[in-house]
Amino acid sequence: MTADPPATVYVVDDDPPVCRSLERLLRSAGYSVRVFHSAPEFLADPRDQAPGCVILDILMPGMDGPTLQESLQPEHRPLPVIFLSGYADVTTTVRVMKHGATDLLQKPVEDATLLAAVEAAVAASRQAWGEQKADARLQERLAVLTRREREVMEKVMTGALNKQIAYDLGIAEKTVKIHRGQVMHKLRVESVAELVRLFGAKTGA
Amino acid sequence: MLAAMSAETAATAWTSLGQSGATIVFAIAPAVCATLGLIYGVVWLRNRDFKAYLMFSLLCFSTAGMGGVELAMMHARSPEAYGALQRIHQVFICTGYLSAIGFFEKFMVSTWSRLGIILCATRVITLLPNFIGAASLNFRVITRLQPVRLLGETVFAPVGKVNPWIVLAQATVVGLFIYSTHASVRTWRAGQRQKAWLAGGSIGVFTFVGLGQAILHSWGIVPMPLTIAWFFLLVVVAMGYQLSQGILEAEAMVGDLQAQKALTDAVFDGMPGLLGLYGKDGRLLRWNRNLERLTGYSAEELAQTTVQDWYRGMALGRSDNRWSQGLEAGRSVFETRLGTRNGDPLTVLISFARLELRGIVHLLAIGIDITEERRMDQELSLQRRQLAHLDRVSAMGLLSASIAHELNQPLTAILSNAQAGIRFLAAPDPNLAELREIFKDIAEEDARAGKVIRGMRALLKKEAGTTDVVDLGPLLEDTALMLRGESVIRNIPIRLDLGRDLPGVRGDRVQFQQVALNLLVNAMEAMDAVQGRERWIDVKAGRTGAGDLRIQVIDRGTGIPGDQLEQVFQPFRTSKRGGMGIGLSVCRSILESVGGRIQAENNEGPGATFTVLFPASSLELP
Repeated sequence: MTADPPATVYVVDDDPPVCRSLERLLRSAGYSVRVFHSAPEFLADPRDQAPGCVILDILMPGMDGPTLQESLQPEHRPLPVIFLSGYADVTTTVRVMKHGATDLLQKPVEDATLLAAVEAAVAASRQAWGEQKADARLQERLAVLTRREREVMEKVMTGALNKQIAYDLGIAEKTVKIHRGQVMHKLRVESVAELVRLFGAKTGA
Repeated sequence: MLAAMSAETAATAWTSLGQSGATIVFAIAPAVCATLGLIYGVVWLRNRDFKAYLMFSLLCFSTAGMGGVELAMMHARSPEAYGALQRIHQVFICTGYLSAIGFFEKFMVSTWSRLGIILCATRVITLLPNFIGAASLNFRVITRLQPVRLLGETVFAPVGKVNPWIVLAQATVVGLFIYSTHASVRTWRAGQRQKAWLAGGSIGVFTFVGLGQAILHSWGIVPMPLTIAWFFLLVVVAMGYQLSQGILEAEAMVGDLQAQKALTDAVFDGMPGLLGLYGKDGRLLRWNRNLERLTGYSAEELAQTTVQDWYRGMALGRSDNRWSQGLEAGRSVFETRLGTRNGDPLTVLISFARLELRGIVHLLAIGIDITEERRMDQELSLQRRQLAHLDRVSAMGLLSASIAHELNQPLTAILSNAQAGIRFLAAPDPNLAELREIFKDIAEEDARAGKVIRGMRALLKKEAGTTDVVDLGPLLEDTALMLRGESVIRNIPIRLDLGRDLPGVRGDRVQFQQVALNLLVNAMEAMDAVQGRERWIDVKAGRTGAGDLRIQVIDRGTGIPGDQLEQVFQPFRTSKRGGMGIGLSVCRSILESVGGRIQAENNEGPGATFTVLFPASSLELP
């Protein structure tokens, strides 16, 4: 963590004194903290594109915590959610866990418990951010291929022979070989196996 | 020998008696009449209301006078002396005449009073010719006295020229006959036949005989002495007989009274209440057995007591003024406590009534023992309080999640603040301003938790608090705050619309809060099953045009079936699962105990409205 830039923890709770105390506790642990008193306020905020986590109160007037969690999902943000509530029935617990909450903590919460949960969530967030970054780099490499090279790559990844690919694309087998060499070169891979391992998930093949 | 002598003496005495027969007989009549007159005169003196007795007494004395004068007239030595006596005789006749009419006026059922007055006046007028210009009313001149035999005795009868004015006197006698006959017929018709017979008959005979003799005497047809007194005596005897009926009636009345007393004694002792008759000095004169039985005091002890004793020592109530009120106003009803011999006070409802018995003021105290009723009232009120408490406890159960939430918030803030503070202190160069803020927040949050707990404890207290002037605005705000958690959990906002300057209501704060809590929780529960429309509770408070304070709790729930709008306030009627159904009945009894009202109605849109109304008279204006 020390090497990484401070992660941001978002606290969403309708109770200002509770927010203040959580903000202090998290700040004492070195997090950058942002406080919101309602779900809509949080949704309307243009958040930094950085790792972090959200601490959500379940019970809030207007939009409650679980609903906020669900409305966050479509954005596919790697922003883990920790629920903090004095009141959670089984239905609510199951609901929030299904939607991927990393933790559900009982109010009042011990600092160690909260900070551990936040740390785990932030780590998960960082990892997700890392993965997202790596993913972005692979996408950058794919972007240098021509359309024909891309087509040939996809056929290769399905395990088709050059002859077959040439027939399918209506080009000469020799041309297929040239494209294939270009793909391996541009993507800096040594073998078809490596090609499939790195890019299999990104091409939809 | 001795016997013969005494027989001879007796015979001589009898003979000499026989020679003065008229004197003896004429001495008896006045004596009898005077005695009767005395008796009835005394009776009248003892009771002035009996005017008939006075008149009868005067009639008797007049007759006695007549008799005495007649006796003297019989023995008159000269015509002058006779004339002078006859003038006096006419005066007695006149008084006798007046008192006879007076007697009729007082004694008979109904008379021809106007005729009576004319007759009396005329009779008095006849006294003028009696004393002026003639020997007497009977004779212009009396020429001589003629000896006549009467009852074996020689007496004198006058001979002279008749006074024509005597006709006027005789006319009054005829008038008396008409007057008495009229009165007798009226009395007869009224059903008092004996009275009518005796009065009418005796006067009739008197007028007939008296008039006849007066004509014979005065017109000199047959020289004879006047014996009017004897004819009057007839009237006296007849009337006396009739009056004596009163004595017999009095005896019968004594019997009746004894029966009445037995009846009143039975009523006194038989009636379920307490009864006491006090004299004006407050001494207890009569009482019933119940007073002895319920107070435990013996008859001897009660006889020594006065009404003041009840107030000083024996009674616990301070009501001296009520006793005097009873004397002055004639009536006073109040509730008080009476001491008893064994110390357990009786609660009684007492009515004091002023009562005049034979002109003397008494006070009649009638009491009902309501000790048991009051005890039951207290028990009922205790039960009501227990029910209210039970309701509060059950409300607390329903609100446990809400209360946990309300307590958790400050506890969370306190814990996190404290732990943040410790961590800040561990760092080099801690920020003191930050720490000050932390401590301030901790103190504030502790106060907030304390408020929740105090509110809860107040609601859980067995006995409700004391009566006070309660501002309902802040109370409603507090209650809504207390329900904040519930409102959030159920996702039902409570919207307060409280007017400005709401008046205070005298009552118990905790009980008012209970009402507010019940109504709000009810409103929430009415909306539990509602889906697909916005849910909220509106609380409105303000003054009506009439100056009453109206508080409305409006929900958007399922409403109340039309036939149950009143039933919802009955205890143990509930449509909710888990509820006891006492909440609304407790609300109603709390509100009614301070003069307020509560009613339910369905909204035009969805849901129902509960309206609480405090009449202007029960409000404490700011």
